[in-house]
Amino acid sequence: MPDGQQHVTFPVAASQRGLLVADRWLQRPEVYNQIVQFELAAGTPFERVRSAIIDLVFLQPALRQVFRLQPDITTWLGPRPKPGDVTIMRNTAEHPDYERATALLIDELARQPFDLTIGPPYRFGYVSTRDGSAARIVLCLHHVVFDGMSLGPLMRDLEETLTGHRTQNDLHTRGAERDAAYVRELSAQAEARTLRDLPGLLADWSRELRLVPPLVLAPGPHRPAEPSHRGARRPLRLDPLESATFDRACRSLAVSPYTFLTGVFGAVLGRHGGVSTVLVGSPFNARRTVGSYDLCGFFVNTLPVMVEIPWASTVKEFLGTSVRNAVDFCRSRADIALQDVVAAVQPERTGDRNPLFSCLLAMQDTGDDRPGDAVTGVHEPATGWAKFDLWLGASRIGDTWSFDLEYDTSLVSGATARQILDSFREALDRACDDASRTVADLFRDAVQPLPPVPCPPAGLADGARLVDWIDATARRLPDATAVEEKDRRLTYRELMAATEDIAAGLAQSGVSAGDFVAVAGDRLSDSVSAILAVLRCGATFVPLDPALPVDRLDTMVRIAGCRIMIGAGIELAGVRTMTAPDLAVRGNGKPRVGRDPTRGPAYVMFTSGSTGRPKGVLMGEGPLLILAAWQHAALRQDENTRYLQYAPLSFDVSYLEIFPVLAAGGVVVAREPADRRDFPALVERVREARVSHLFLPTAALRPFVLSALRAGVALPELRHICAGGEQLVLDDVVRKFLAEMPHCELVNIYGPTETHAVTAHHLPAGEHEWPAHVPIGRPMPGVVTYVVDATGHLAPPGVPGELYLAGSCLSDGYLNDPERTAASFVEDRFAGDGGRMYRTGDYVIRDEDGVLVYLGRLDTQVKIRGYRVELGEIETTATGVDGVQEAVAVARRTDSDADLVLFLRAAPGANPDHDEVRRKLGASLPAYMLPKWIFNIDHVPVSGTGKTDRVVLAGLSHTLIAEANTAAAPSAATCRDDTERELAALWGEILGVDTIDPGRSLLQYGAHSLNIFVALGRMENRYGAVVDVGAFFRDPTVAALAGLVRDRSGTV
Amino acid sequence: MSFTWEGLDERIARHADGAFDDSTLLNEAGIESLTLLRLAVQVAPSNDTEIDASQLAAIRTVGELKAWLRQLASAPPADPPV
Repeated sequence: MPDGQQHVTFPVAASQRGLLVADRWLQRPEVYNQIVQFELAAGTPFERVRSAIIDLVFLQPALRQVFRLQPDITTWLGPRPKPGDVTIMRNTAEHPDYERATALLIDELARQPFDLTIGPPYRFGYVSTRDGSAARIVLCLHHVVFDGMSLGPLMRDLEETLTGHRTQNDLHTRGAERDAAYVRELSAQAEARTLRDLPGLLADWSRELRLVPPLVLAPGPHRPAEPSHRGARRPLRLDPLESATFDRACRSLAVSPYTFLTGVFGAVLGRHGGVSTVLVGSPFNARRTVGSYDLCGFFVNTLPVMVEIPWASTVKEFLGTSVRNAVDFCRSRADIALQDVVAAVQPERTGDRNPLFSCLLAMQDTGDDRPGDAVTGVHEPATGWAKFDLWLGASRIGDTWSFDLEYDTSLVSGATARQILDSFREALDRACDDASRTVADLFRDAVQPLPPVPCPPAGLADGARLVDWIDATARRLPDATAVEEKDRRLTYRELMAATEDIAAGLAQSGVSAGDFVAVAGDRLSDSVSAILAVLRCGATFVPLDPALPVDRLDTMVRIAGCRIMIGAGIELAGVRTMTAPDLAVRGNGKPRVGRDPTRGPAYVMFTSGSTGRPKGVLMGEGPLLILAAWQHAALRQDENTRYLQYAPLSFDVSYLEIFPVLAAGGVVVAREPADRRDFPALVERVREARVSHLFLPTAALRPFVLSALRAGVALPELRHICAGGEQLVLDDVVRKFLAEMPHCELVNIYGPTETHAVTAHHLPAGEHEWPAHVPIGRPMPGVVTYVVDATGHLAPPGVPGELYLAGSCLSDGYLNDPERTAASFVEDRFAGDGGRMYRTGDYVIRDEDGVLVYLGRLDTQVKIRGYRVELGEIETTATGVDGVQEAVAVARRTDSDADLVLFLRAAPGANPDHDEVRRKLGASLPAYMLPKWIFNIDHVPVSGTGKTDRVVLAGLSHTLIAEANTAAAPSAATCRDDTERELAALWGEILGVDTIDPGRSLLQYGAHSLNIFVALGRMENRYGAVVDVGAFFRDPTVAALAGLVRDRSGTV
Repeated sequence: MSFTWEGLDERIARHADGAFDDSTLLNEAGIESLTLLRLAVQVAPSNDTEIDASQLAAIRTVGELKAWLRQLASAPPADPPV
């Protein structure tokens, strides 16, 4: 029946219209295949089943519905089927194989999409045991003709037709009535829509919906942007006692089970998505006529219930007031179609999925339909498809409640689904148990992995200090090189002698245990001797960077109370500055300064404070000794180690580069004469000094690698490259470089200044399957890592949260700043042993293997239209384009949100093609991650510690964008060619707009799912180019569509 | 299908948990929105009678339910479809 003109057509319901559009758009329209399984009484003859099925199709007009999609969406009803018209796929199995045979049949029925323009929208199957003891009808039908309330009518009709309670005359009369009722229902819905003030109802609602953050379950850097729609299910069954408890809890709060479950499911989603407002999609009954309650059909509007989760409120307030109001709000708008809401909200579209909500709660209505004589049961089994990231089906069967959690297997792993169902079970139990507890306390702390036990430094006596350790090494290896500069080598004997001389000078100057001594930039050997001398005196060293402004340095020494500075290049009031050689008092190399056995603070490192006043982090020696022992074991440090000292002394990484190396008997290699940012010189220094260990700021890794590749040097001695300071994102260049160095591992190291380095992730040499977004790894010995989720509880694996650190890694706090210390170092409530923990402000997630993945800063997370954006991912993709040496993405604040700007530094002699960069980004990243602007720059600014200075670039972006806008304004709406002109006219006509700017988003002109559907259909007719919805939403402009038309039609 | 107002409480009671009066909240009595629809289908004078589901959210008590059902039962028949 392909030609609708031969039939009496009528308009489809608004809800059906939305589904038909989506069916056309989806890459996998099979996701709309629904399965209903009817259990039959034993001994039912197949011929009777066949006859009943034919009658069922006659009695249910929806099953005979055929659709026309172009030029308008209409429908008509096909005629009563004849016996040969209905195919029934039949399967027979031995009893033990019955369920497997059913599963195979379901797979066979649900595998293929329906062509709704031809019909029919159903496929029937029948499976029975060979001995006739069991049989079932398996009905696969498209969602556009079926909703949850259709189960009852189908079951009742099947019962009657199987038991033969109707005569043929009855059947004809009833069939005609049903057809009329179906048309009447569709008309009633259409009429009701005309009476509603849709703009008025949607105005405030859409504003609120726009503010809801996207819900991303199991967020992580490698989560696919698009669902696969491949589904799996996990069941949860309450026993009769638990079910009764649930019913009682609902009544006691005077809420429906649906409201109760919406709240609990919403809270679970909030926890697992790390948000406090979620949209739970839910089908709302939109049937209007009484006659429709005997009909199978798609008469629901699936609407977003906005669940705001006040974690500190009681469950009673939450469910009884907040969630109930949210549910009633949607119920009172049950006649509004989802596409009307979407058109009003204009959400960020990610293509192949529902644009408003990713999770759905469906209450299955098995209600009053008791098992009959012929049909003894009905249910909806899984189809193997998933329409949503997560779907929770709830139904009451008899005295028990039953839940099924269906999930998209590419977005939610089986382990994560299990965790979510565990959380749901826990929250449901606790909500039923005590409604006076807080919403946060619906959950409990998840079990965290135990930290590795710290290994004490080998051969070091209890209570020994860092200098004792290095002393011992010096006695063992007196003539080995300790510090190596380009033109000077210092043996361990010489190093310790220099240390003693400077310590004697410090003592003469009145320095003793508990004092703070500043150490400023100097040649490496002098700095190392000076620091050891300070420690020898029992004092604490305060490294200062001479490049900092004098005022800031002045603040630092005043905070620390330094009276003496060892070094040169800085003059500060009240501080006596002397070089190490000037300070030294020559002796015989033997200790002359009394040894203070106290393991006091080793150093003060300053870090930026939010108020602008630097914070001095006071780090004790104990944690540093454990860190050194870890380094020896994990990075294989011994007397053969040659570690390049790259970091400024005022950066805590310098500790890693110097002292554990000396304790192991290795060589600390000076970076000089190479400048810190002169990467070719740095590569040469690493080569000629035969460096084995190198710690680079993350931002320096790629420039270093590029310089090495360009120079064509081999670095056969280099065994360990550590990176830290920012999120490490690997690109193909770095991968290739390291693939050619199978002897060298890459180690991503994480740790805030307030602790020492706390986690590490090793990318072993020779393995090439390295992730782009490198995890920060597992905790080091003695380090306790807590992931605290949105509820304030310890997060299960896969749930994001703030990272708290405890254990032996903590510093003593901020020097002379008890208030800020108290704010950041809080009581460890999880251990409950009176210890402290540090709030890092870093947002992380722990995977099932206990590996931590960094997601961003809590305070400065980059979010575009609510989506968390990983800038490194954009940069890595951009650097894959020819001619791009470096790429840096920054988020630029705008009046209402933020947009992304990408800066490119060209390779020597190259001129990167921005269109090619955009094409490559568009091919692999979601639309919200595409930069709005791209600019070339000559160099990438970095901070003193080697981190990319995005603040400077964000400032630069404002200037460059203003210039670009001025230059581009006169020609903004100019079409480049005839294709763009035609497309602009086509869209202008559909959208009712006179002039379309080819570079402006069509969504801003009012494009929404339905008119996009119409327009893309016309484009297909005109150009023969099929544009899928994903491609459209990636860049919804006339200019981009013209490009797609040119590519796909091959005619322009 | 026969229907009498005298039997309305009994019909409601079939779906309710425990005792109720007109002031009882529907959810306290365990009466869900689908039950409302089932009762509405029973009292409606014809298959063409329309039930506006968007109004159900405003019905909170047993008394309000009864009033709504009475109003529905006396609704004039809808125009036949064109």
